[in-house]
Amino acid sequence: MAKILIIDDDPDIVLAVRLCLQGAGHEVFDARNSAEGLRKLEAIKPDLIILDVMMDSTTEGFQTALKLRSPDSDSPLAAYRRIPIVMLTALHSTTDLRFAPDEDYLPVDVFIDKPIDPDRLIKAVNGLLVKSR
Amino acid sequence: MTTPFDTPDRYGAPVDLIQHSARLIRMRWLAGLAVLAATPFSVYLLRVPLPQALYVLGAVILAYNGLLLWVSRRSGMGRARLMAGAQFAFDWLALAAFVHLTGGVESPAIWFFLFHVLLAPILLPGRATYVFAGLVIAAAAGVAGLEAGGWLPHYRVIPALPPDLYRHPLYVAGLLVFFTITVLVSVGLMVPVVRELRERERQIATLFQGIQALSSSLDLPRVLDELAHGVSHALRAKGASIRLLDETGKRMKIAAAYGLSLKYLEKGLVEVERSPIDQEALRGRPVIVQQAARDERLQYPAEIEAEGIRSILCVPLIGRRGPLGVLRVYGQRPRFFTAENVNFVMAIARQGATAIENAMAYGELRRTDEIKSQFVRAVTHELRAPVAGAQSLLRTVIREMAGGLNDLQRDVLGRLSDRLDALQLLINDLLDLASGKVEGLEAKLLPVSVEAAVLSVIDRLSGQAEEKKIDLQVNYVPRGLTVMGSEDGLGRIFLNLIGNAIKYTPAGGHVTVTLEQSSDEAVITVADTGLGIPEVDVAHLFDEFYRGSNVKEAGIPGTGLGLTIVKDLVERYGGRLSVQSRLNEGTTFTVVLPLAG
Repeated sequence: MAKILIIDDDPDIVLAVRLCLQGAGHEVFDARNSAEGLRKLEAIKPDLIILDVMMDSTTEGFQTALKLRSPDSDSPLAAYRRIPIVMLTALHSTTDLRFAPDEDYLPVDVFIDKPIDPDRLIKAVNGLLVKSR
Repeated sequence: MTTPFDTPDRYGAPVDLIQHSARLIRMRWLAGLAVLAATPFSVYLLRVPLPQALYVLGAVILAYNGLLLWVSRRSGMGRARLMAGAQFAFDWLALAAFVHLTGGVESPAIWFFLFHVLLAPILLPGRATYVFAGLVIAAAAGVAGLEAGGWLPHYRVIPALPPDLYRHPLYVAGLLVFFTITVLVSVGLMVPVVRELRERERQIATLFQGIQALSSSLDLPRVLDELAHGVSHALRAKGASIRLLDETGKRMKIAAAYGLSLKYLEKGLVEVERSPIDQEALRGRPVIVQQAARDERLQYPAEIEAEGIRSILCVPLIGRRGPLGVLRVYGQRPRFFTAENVNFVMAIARQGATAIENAMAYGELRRTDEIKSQFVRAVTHELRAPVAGAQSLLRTVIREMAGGLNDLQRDVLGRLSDRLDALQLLINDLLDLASGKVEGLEAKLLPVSVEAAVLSVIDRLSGQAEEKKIDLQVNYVPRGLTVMGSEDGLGRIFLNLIGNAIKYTPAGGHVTVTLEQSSDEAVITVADTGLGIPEVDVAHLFDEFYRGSNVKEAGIPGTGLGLTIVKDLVERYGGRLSVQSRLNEGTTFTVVLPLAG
């Protein structure tokens, strides 16, 4: 069992993720935006974070991922740098960022297209949790 | 700044000079040979006592002609004016010598000087022609004077004439006076005619080029700038401005200007009501202000005076739906504009009005298109989020993550999920189509690797092909083929074509993608062994929302937008899309894209 934080402003997506991951035996926490998510990090200490690409702005999710993975030694989020991140993207999104994760460009471990496929999500989450242990 | 209105000053232009020089050189060979041949003919057959020196002169003419030919071949266009000057100088001396050797004032050859006088205005600017006429008169007078004064020997070539005729003051003076009058009148008649013809030629060239330039641009500011600059340049006027009526139709704003100071341009809006000149022009008639300083019809007389404007020509810009504004040309002198100028500017203004109207319509179209696309994009985004949310939730229910289901419930929810899938597909394609249309007008095309695009799509779809047990092959030799397009656009083209091939090919079939180069084009074929397209459907295949009758019957989901998107993109990148299909045997799509560079 792992603690998973989902940051997404769409309550239906949050519920779907919650149902999937709780069914797989994980504990799920949620935040409606990046600021709330980052505030909750300290209290929750999640084992994995699920991030939506588009929230208040079209790239909010990307910016949050960059903040979390910041290599600066004095980054306030340095303690959470190693938490695996799953990014939820809109399939066919018109941004050029929809292709596979690029280590240099975007510090994200896995992309999952919306609508969420429960099996794919669970497989990805469990895979990352095994790897990060 | 150069605009297509600019034409080289054709007056004594290098091209002209070189053409004429070449002709003069050819004629000079004849002249030299004629001197060499005519001299013995006259001496031995006609018994005219010509001096031997004429042979030398003939040889000298041929020699300097050879030199001129050599220099002109070596220096090309560069020294055209200098060459013309050198030719005149040599010929002037040679002709003076010829006249002297054939009898001075008694020589009938003295009238040969007229050839030169006639050639001069064609080759030289107006003022130089008068200088040259002076030189010709000086040469004739010089030869006559030097011979009469005894400083040069006189060759008596016509024995029948009185022996002292060349020293007879009345004869010599009379001949020179008539000669001078002939030369001056010839030049005086020629120069204005040639000048007028040159100016007309220049204006016609300007008009022609201007019309071409105007009708080829759809960018309004550029059209206006070209019009103002071109008209001003063509008339050699001080400047020009274009004023366009605003939405109220009661005021005019300066939309473009050339040759005017910023201060003058900022003097304020023109109120049509207070400007009788503009009122008149907007009614379709040209107005000339011959004396700007004394004209009461002007709204800003002080500013016009300060700007150095002395006369104004104001012509209407009339579009298909009525007046658009006025074109004003400013003269630096009173009475600057002639009736011909008015016709000329009216002709340009008619073309200009059409160009302005086209550019305005295009701008409007662009804005509408952009607004429409933005709207479609916004709507599509808003549509996608709830569908994705609903589908995500539904899937968890179907997977019984929210409790158990009975068979009927599972069947109903499965159908619901299928409908949502179809809806999502439609929304995604609409988004592609909408963003593609925006890209069409706004995006710059960049060189993109077509191989990378195809391989990335194949990589993405290989899982899907494997699931369906379809053999997905790609044939290509890496050549680094790049085409002008966008990465995203190329991705969409191949995602649609290869995705379709997989979708419409039954399990166990083959999909083969081939990448080739054919001269300066990249040729990509996507061939499948799928359902094929009924013949009746092929013609409509690229219509929006059109789907083949067989795939609809087979219940394969799709929106009928994919190929519209593909065709749209391929054509935007300057390429071609074609399809060959046999029902139940397979389909081959061929994309041909011009290579970059």
